[in-house]
Amino acid sequence: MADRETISQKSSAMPTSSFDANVASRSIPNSDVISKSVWQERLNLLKKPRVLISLFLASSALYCFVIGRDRYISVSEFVIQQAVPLNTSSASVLAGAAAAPQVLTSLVDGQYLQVYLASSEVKNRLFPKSTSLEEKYHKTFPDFRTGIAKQSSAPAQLVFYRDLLEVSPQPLSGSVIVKTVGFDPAQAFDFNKALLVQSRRFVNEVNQSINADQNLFAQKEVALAEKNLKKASQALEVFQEKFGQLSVESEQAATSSFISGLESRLVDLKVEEASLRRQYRDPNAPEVSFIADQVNELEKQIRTERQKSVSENGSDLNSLAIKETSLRANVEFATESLQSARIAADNSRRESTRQLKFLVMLSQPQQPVSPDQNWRWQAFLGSIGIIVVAWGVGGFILAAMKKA
Amino acid sequence: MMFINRVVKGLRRQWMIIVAIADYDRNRQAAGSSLGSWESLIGPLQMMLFFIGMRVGFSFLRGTNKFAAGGSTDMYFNIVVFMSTGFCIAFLFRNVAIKSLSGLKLKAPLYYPRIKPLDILLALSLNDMRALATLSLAILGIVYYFTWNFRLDSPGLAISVYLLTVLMAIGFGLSVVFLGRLNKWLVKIIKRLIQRVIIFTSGIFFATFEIPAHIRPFITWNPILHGVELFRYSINNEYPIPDISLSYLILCSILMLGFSLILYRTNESLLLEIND
Repeated sequence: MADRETISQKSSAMPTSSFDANVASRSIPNSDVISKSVWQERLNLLKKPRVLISLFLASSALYCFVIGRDRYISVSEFVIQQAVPLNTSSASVLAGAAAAPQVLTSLVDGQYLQVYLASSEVKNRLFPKSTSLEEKYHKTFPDFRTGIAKQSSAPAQLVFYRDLLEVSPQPLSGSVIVKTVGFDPAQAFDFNKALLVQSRRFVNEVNQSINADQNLFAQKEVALAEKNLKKASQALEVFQEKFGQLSVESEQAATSSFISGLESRLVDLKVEEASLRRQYRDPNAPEVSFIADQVNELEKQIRTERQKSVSENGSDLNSLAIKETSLRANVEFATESLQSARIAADNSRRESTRQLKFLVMLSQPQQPVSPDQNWRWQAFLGSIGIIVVAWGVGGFILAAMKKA
Repeated sequence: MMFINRVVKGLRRQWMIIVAIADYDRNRQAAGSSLGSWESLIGPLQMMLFFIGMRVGFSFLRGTNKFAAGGSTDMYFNIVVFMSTGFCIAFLFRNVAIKSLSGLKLKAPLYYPRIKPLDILLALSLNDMRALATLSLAILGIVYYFTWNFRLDSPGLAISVYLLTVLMAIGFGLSVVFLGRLNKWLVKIIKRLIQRVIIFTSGIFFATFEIPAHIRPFITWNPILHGVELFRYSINNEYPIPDISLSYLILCSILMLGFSLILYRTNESLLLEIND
């Protein structure tokens, strides 16, 4: 009970009562002195932490729930889908040809979009004049804190622009949520729609510009392939003009069959010579010599024919055949190169004008019907949080330091 | 008007008592420790650093993501912020519950009948709350200093979640005080439950979105997980929180606190007898 009395005495010891007591104890005080001391007492009252905290919370509540301008939020959600199979197209609008699941592709594209939509490029597209943003989101009475001031700098405008939008790619679904803030329902709604247009433009223009670059490259490749084909064809033409239109391979085959005919005749003659040598005792008998001479001549002829077909002085069919094969291969290769270059050029020409990726709308933006109350509570609870944290953390640190 | 005035005065007096007990307990702990009052900060900090080390170590052992120890959560948080946010919420709950189980005594002769077991619990919770809030703020400050990237998207949600966790911890602590009186084995089981099951399902080490959808129901029963995930969400609104709801956390906190206060109101004498 003693405890209670002490506390209640403390709590009831208000400065006004002590002031009254002081006043009563004096005889006839000067009015200036009284008013001065009254103001001093009032200022002392303001210095009390409890009063300061109450003032802070009251002003925070006044701003959050009375002065603060209404804010309207428009939300849309979409997913970026590819129109072509994954293994034939790039994984994202900026990535290479690595295959990736659709969710991941959309997520990666969403992350690029998140940066792009908050960039100064998009801001300049949507608000081409520096005054257009200021006019649309100007400050109004009584809330002079919200909005953008006139003749603000470009970085300040960009910071303000970024506060008006929130782009959140969702890692689980791959969808992208776009939230826009406006000071009236139409502002939030129109801004959201404008951002969706910019998103579509970004996703497709990037693809198309990549394909346009690829098209230029493919056309250069076609020109090069045509040049190579022309060169190879000319070389083959020159060769054929020099050695006639006949084919070296068939020539080589004819020579081979001619030599094999001679060789078969040689075998027959050798058999005949051997049988005559058995019939006649004299090896120099005219019948035997006649056949022997034929065999010798035939052998010489075969040797000559063989040398003629391979020697440089003769027709040199082997090297001619190799050269001709090589020239024909060059022509074939150049033809195929030209064909594939033409296909690539044609593909990139088509892709550079075709829409590759689509924004599939999951939720269209709606014009908000009532202002968003969330920011008011967030800000007010944040003010309470500041006091709680300052008291908790500050008190703990001060007490610990005192003890230390 | 008189009634309101009396209620305000009574609440103020009670608050002063709680603050005084909190000061007394802090001074008592400071006297028994070489680190003084910083003991209540250094203890949790050591454990938190150990947890961060564990998480980073596992990431290195897994070898999948050596430079981003947080795995997929690195998209949203620095690993230190991720772990500390989880730790400060889950350990606030754990500390209050453990202290309640250990008995609501001030370990000193006090002859003020106004000091009730509930005041002691509130004072101990207050000290833990202040220490862990200081730790969180210090860590956020250090990370901000090094990365120059500070974010607090929903301050109102952050403070609400923190205070709801405190209320839930007080409710839980008060309930287990009575449960602990029934059987000493029950106390042991609850202690183990708090130390292991609750800590490892509270999302200190993982994010809910990292868990496959069919396993999530096995961990989302835990309201502390909701507190931890909502606290992270309040820092970064892009952080995905599937199957996490603020209403579940509010419901659990109110139910637990309401139930414990009824229990306390009807059985206060039991605690007083034991304490005396």
